[in-house]
Amino acid sequence: MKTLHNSFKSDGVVISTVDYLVNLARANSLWYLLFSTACCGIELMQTGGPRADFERFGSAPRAVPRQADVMLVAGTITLKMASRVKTLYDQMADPKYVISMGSCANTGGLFQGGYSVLHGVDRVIPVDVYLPGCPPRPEALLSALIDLQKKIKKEKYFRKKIS
Amino acid sequence: MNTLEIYEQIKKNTKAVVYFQEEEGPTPSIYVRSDYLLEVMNYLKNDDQLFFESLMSQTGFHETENSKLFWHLYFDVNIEEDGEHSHEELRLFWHLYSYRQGHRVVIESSVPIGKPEIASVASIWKGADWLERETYDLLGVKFIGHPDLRRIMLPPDWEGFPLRKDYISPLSYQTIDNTPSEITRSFQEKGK
Amino acid sequence: MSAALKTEFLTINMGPQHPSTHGVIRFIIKTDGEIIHECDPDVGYLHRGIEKIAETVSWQGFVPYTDRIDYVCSMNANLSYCMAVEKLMGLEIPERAEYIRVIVCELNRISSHAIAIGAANMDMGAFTPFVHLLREREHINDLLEMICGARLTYNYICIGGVNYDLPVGFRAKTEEFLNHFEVVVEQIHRLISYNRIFIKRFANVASVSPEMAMSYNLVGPNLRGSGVNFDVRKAEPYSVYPELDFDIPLGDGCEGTLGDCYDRYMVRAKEIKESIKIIRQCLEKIPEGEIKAVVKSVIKPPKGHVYFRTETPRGDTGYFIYSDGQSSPYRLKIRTGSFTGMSIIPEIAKGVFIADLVAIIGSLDIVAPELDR
Repeated sequence: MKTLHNSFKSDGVVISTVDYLVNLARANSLWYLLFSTACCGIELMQTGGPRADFERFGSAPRAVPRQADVMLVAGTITLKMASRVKTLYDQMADPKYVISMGSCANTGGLFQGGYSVLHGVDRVIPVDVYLPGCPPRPEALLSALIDLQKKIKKEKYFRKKIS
Repeated sequence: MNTLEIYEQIKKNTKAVVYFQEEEGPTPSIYVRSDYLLEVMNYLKNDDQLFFESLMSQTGFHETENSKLFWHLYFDVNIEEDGEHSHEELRLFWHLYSYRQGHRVVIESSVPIGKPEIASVASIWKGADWLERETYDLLGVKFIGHPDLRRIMLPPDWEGFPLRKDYISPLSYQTIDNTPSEITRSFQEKGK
Repeated sequence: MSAALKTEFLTINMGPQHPSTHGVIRFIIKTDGEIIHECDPDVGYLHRGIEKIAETVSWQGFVPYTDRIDYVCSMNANLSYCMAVEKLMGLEIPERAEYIRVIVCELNRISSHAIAIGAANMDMGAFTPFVHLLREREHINDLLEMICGARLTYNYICIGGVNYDLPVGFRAKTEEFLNHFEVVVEQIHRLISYNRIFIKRFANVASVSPEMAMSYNLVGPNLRGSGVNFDVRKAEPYSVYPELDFDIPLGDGCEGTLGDCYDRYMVRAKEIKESIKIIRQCLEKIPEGEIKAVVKSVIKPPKGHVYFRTETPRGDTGYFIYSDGQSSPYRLKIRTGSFTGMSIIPEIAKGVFIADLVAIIGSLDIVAPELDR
């Protein structure tokens, strides 16, 4: 889009697909749900801080699941908490995505020997991007967000699905 | 005052059955038979010289090999009925501290695993409320006289007491399947 | 004519996921309009069974788990566990290691209090102090990353000493940071502490008397905010604290009653200054020498039990360890300051507004992993 700026002699016409424009708008304004249980939550807060700025990608933190597009599951999920995670996921409006941040959300992490720890959040909700680390650095979280943006830009709506 | 002097004071001023232990570790402790616990704790809180205003911690563990076996000498519990668990017990510890005098003491007691009941000190120190709920939740000790004894850390429909040595982690909870993955099981088998 | 209206209490759920950053804690509140009649905390949403896991790992292998118990101040948590095991074994630590331990622990105390003050303010609705303090916390993370390579969970203090030595240039960078941070502390005081709105929201809310604080066993800044002069670093000194010169700030009811939320907040704000003093003294006095005592690779402490406590930013953390001579602990119990802070909430939250409940939780500085372990 930048190369089109100030380059036509008179008014021009741009041809593109609706998919491309809609995905461009959606990928650059992903609002995330503030859901953090453990240590990865502190790194999430630091990513929202001044040095590794999360908001320059268009992401703002929301407190309510109805207003959010993406849920960043950060921290260990226990068996007592698992049903609440499912409730929060069901309350989000379509289209919705999940990023699983940290070892504890991926597989249970270093607490796998515990009796009350869920072995990975993908046993209750479907996950789009897995991010390893204990805890992952802010730069790693930003690269997970960029991966999710690439995934969103490949989605297609108007083509008939082959069933 | 150190632990030996506190032990002498307790023996002089109460009718409790107490023993002085110093073989285990850097701190000696005072063992109180479980039916005299409330009397000793009341004396420790209210005496002017001792004046223990706060209970720092209350904990316990499941002893499987070298139980003290004091309880079966003094209670009417038939060991033959209890059978194979007669050498196991739950040992309990109370750590007390006094802000005014600056001294601390360790009180110990034990209950048999067939009948794990002991008096509650929640009426003496308010901080004992949640500490005793946690010991009930994880070890299964019932505190008689506690205002509201229910599970605190685990969900209310959990079965079993995790900190006992013969506990096996459940493979599923409600409708969630929690079997460990293949890699995790290989580590756990290697460790055994 | 006065008609008698039939009224009843409304039970609301302040659920596990809510926007204040203290973690997953749930309250079941019975209200009469906006005033709380009864409040029942439901904890255990982050109970990971760390005490049971301790019975299967080795003594040195448990140190990374202590990081995750209180991740905002991991160095202090590492220190408590390592000193408890060293007391059980009767081990002597070289002096340079002791000084390095105190320097990193006090740096972590500053960053932990920064999060506590910032989060309490964010719950009130003031976003600016939180973002300013996050920026300062990045500088402390840089300093600690120079030493051990990690930003949040360090695993740096080990049984017998510390893992790595201080790198070249650490002292100059630390002094530059301390000079810069003293100015920031003054700015924060002007922004928050003497602010009329902040004082109105925090003063005279939920005051705790000294007798109640001792009976419920509150510890740390919560206890000192009620006027009780007790700090583990002065009453039962450990490490090199007897040779350092610092004061203990106490709450004095300057803006309201003794022991209210404002007193507890001011104790934390003043402790940051004392920590800066301690770090400066340590950087002067640190000697040359070894950083680790000679320890076998498989340690087996003698049979027995010990209860040892140190002063962490949230109060005193006590470790009860029982060993039976094997290569893993037989029983390990951690008694943290947030646990007792939470147990007093049903008592002091009677008759306050729901918005004041948020102020109470913020001023008691509760983090969920310490509560649930």
